[in-house]
Order: sequence, then C-alpha cells, then structure tokens
Amino acid sequence: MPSLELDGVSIVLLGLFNPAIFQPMWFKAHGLIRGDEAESAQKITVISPEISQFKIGEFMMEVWRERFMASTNDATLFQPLRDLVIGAFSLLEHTPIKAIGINRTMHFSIADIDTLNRFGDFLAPKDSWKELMDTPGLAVMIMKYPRANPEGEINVRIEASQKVIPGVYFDVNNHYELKKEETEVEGTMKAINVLKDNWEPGLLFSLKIAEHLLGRDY
Amino acid sequence: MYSPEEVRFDPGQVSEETQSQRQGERGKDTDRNVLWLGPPPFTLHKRTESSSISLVTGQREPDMELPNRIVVRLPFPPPTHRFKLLQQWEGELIEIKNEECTAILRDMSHPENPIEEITFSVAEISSSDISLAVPGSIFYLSIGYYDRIDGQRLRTASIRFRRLPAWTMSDFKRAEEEAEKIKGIFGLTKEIRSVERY
Amino acid sequence: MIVDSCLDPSTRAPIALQYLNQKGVNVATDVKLFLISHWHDDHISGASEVLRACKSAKFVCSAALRCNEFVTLVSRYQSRSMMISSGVDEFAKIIGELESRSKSKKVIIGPDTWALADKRIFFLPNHGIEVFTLSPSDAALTHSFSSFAKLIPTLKSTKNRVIDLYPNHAAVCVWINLGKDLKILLGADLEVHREDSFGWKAIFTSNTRPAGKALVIKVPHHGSSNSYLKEIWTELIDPDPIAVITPFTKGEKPLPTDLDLKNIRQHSKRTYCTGSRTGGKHIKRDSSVEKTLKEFAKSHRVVTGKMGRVTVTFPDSANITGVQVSIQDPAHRL
Repeated sequence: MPSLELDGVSIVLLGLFNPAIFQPMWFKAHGLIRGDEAESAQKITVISPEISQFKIGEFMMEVWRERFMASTNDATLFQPLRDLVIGAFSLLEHTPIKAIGINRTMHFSIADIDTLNRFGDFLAPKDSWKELMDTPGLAVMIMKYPRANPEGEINVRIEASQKVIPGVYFDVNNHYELKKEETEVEGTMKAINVLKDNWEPGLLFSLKIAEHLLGRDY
Repeated sequence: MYSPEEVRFDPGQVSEETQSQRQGERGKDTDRNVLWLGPPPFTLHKRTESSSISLVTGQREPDMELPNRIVVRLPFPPPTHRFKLLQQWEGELIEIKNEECTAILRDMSHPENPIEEITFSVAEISSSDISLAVPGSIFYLSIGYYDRIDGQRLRTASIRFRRLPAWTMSDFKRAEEEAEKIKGIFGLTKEIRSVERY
Repeated sequence: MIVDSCLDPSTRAPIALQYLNQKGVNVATDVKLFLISHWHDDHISGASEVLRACKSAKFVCSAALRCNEFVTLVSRYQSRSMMISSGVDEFAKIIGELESRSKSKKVIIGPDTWALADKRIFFLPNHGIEVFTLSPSDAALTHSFSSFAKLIPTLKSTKNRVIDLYPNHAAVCVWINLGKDLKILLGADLEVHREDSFGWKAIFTSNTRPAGKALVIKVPHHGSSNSYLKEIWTELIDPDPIAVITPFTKGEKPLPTDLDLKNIRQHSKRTYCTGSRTGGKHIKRDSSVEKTLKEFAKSHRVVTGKMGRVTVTFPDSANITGVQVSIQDPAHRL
C-alpha cells in the first residue's frame, strides 16, 4: 500500500469578512492560540481591508472580503485548526457565511514510474485514446459526488504529485452549502456545526477514498 | 490619472492602517499598492490622457480601467519541518495528582478501537498549555516522525491542549432560551429562585 | 423495564435494546418503564435512543435533576459549548425526546415520574409487580442542587468537559417486588455517607420503605468500599443472595478491588461480575508507536473491554428456589 508522505487540510468559508480583524494578536487575545505562537508569527504578513495573510506556527491564514481560508500541513494540528476556526467564528457570530469547504490534500509515494503509469491506466483506461494517439497519459482527474444531506458535494482531484516523485496527489474537497438563514448568527452557528459534526468523518472519508483507489490491483 | 511609479509594499504602513480598523472603523481607500509575487492575473497598465501604455509590452493599448488598489498575495514561508503522523488520540484529563496526569484516550486514527487510559508526567505538557491542564480539559496526543529542516528525523510524542473561547455573555444568553424550554418541560416556574452566579 | 443505558462498544448501539430485540421483545409496546439512575456517562450513554424506541415506556429520573441549577448546566453545555460532555449531552437529547413526545400529545410532558425516596413508581396489581425508588432522600435532594451549581460554568472561565461529581447524592436506587417473595435491589452508584439522612443510611433507617429482603442485588457503585456498609446486607438483603457487580475500569483504582470483593463475598456465596476488572485486551500498534508510548507514558491500558452479561431467571415468581443464573463471557462467577 502506498505510503502517505504529505498531508494537509484547509477550511474555506465563503461569505463576508473583514480581513483586518484577523491577525495573530487577536487570536492570542482570545486564547485561541498559544502565546509564543502569536509572538513568533511570521513577520511577512499582510493586514489590510482587502486581505489578511499570515502564518502562526504551522497555521496559515488568508482572509479576503469574501473568502476565509485556514490551513495546515502538520497532521498534529488538524484538530486544533478546526478548533481555531470554530473559536474564531463563535466570537464573530454575526459573520454571514454561505458555504464551507473542508479540504484534504494528500501526497502518496508510489513504488516506481511504471506503477504510477499503471495507476493512471486503472483510473482512465487508454484503449480508446490509443486509437487516436501514440502515448496518451492522464494529467488530471476530477470526480464529483453530490451530497443531499447536508447539502453540498464532494470533489476529488487526482494527479501525479509534484512534491513526492513518483507519487500521487489527492485533493478532496468536501463542500457544504448553507441555506440562507433568517439571521446571521444562525448562519455562523450552522457553519460551526458543520465543522463540529463533519470534520472527523469528512477527513476519514477523504483518506478512505485515496486508500481505496490506491489499494486496488493495477 | 496615474503617473508611472514602482509598485511597492510597506508592511509598516499597512499595520498602522489596521490599528483604526481594529477599533471598528472601515479603512479608507488609499492609492497604496501591494507587491505581487505570484503570477499576475492581469497586466499592469499606465493610464495616459488618451490611452494606456502597457508596462509589460510598451505598446499603446486601448483605454482600460485600472483598479484603485492592486491587492496581491505573498507566498507563505516554506514549512520549517514535516511531521509524519503515526497515531493520534483525543484525551480528556481526569486527574492531576503528584505531578502525574491521568487521562482517558479516544483513538482518532482508528475510531473503532476501545477507550484507553494513560498516566504521564506533568513535565510532558508545554509551558504555554500548562494553565489549561485541569480535570475535564481536552488535549490531542500525537505520535510520529518529526523531520527537521536539516534532515534529522526524530520520533516524538506531543501533547497540545484544545483551545476554545472562554464562556461569554452571548453563550449564556443563548443558553437562557434553551433553559426556559427545559424549565417548561420540567414544570419549573419562574417563582423558584435561581441560584445562578456569573 | 430498563434501568440505565450503555453502548455496546462494537456496535455503538444501546445494549438494552440489542438484548431485548434478540429476545423478540417489541420494545415499542412492551417496555413499560425506563429509568435513569443518574446522569453520569457510564449509566446514560444511548438513553435518548432507548427513550425514542420505547414509545410506551414511562420515563423516570431523579427528582434531584428538577432544579434550576441542573437546567442551567444542561442548557449552557448544550447550546454553545462546542464541547461534547457525554452525560450532559445525552440528557439534553433525552429532553429533546421528551419535547417530541409533548408535541405529539399536545401537552407539556416532562419525565413521567420524578424518583424520590420510598416512592412507588409502578404497580401491576394483577401480576404482583411493584417498583419503588428508595432514593434520593430529602436531604440528598437539597444537597444535589448546590452540587450542580458548582459545575455551572462562569463568565470568562475556560470551556471544559463536565466532570462527574462524587459522592453522587442524586442517584436513584430501585426496589422491585415480583410477586410475594421475590425482591430485587438495584443499587445504582449510591454511596455511604456519615450523615444518616444521606445515601444508604437514609434507606435502611427509613420506616416507610418497602418491607422484605432482596434476593438479587446489583451491588452499588461497582462494589467500592464507599458504598459498603454491613447493615445494607443485614437489613436489606437475603442471607443467601445473588450479587451482581459491574466493574469500573477507569481511574487510579479500578473497582471492585480485592478487598471490596472480600467484603461482598462474606455476604454472598453467589457473586458474579459482568466483565473483566482489568479492562480490555491490549491494542497492537506499529512498533514505533508502541515504543514511543512506552517511553512517554508511566502507564497505559485499555479500559473498555468486551461486555459480558449475567442473566438471572426465575421460572415462576412464586417459586424463588428455581432461580437460574447464566453468564456470557467475559462475565464470570467470583
């Protein structure tokens, strides 16, 4: 079974935000991060009305007026990342949020190039293509899966890894649509509840997708 | 009308702008620009009275609207290390006695596994988390390989306590609505004196 | 009748419902009483699911919970805490189920009965079946209110899980009469207190409790010394009883200890335990994980193992000599 070498998660919220609020000392003031993490936040930061971007320890945050993203590539911090976002938006309870994405990116190492090519053939058989061209190869595959409850979809993107060579890269996006609520507070609470209830199952399912495909015979 | 000027980013000036915004004011639009270090989605144009000259090609281009502010992203600094996770638990501290912590563990890597119990030294808790270590507090215990930037690999166990905002009046107000409903179901009336203290 | 609830570790389903379904019992119509002895984790997990399934059952819980303090505790943790505190969360779900029942009947219905000392909560005269609750006492009731108040989070305090408080004055002990001769005592987590008006002393000094001595006892508080008093066995229990203990494997001192067992066995030659006292089988993990855990932890063990079962069967409530006890591994006779 190919080994998971690099693993990252991100939380993306779509709505209306004030980027200037999001900065390391704000998180520290509310006890959402360690004091020494805030102190050592990377100096190259942008805090402005249009965009706020900074790194606290191994948490990365990027906030635009209509998009919030928090991410980490440190697997020990996946749960704390969720807590950080839940904590922030339980304080900013009047933030209008219309959609939320829980995303996992994984790089698996593959034994060799031949195995990688066979995996590509398994995902997208080339017989029909070979009738038209000599050496067709799969560059990117995206599979979509609509979800009824909660409403949304799952998008799975698979391609050769650029960081683990030879390797396969999976990007699984768990997208949740939040119905327009009567009050902004209810919308924020709904986003928090999505994170509370779907975080662990969502991440486990993302891993399961990758392991299921990589575990097949090819 | 814009005169050609070099696009430059000054983090100090941006921070000052942020101070007023922290107090709730909306920042005023300025004509300060921010440096773009990634592949631009657009080309920069210098506007003249009759037409624009592309700063990229130097050719005269039809008039195009130039945004007041060019907001760009800086790439995040590269990671200082990598961590290959082997096993993770969510723990609940149930007792601290004689510099020893006792906790219940729930296996997050394999949720089908049964509950476990562990005791460990208080010294394993980082100084920034020690104030959070009380009975009922939640932490994450992770075991794996820590690959330093110099290539050294270390096998480690690390603890990080869960952080959530402290209880607020807003939390209590929401709870009051719920409490009224429960009191109705329990047949408790408003005449019964409440002993709630904040 | 179902008293308390816990989940089967392998199926995550309430074990009482699993058992009754296996026996072919229609839980929606045939379960007449569902009682929660107290709100701690190990007695309440899955209770809301049981309540939902047992549509005809009367719901009974301790009168100690009927106070502003407990309501405040549940409402604060339910609404915005983002912490899952099993016992309190489960009770919040029970309240949700009660609310659903209210809506369908168009009247506000809380728990059907609030358990108090020496109160008959169920009676089937044709079958000679009576169920009494022996606790909480009046003094315990009052004391419980202030105990809950201590758990209520205050402004600006950190959000943590609700911890279980001991001694548990709110616990409900149950006494069951089956016919004229057969009596059963379910001891819950009730403990012995130095004051006569609390805990077990309040029960055996009461002159309004049901008469007789129980042949079957579910030993209180996992057989711990905190719940042992010779008078419980001499005043309330038959000289040759069947005693069933459920072990408690968490914490510094798993229960029952060897000394606890020695105390119990001097009163009962037929003592059974529903599971292993040392917890479950060790989980085999990657050697790097095992090695690191060994270096990190001073001790480490699995606390929840496979669940056993002790079944006590009376072919006829009038003939208590025909009792049969069967056990399912890892339950065992001590």
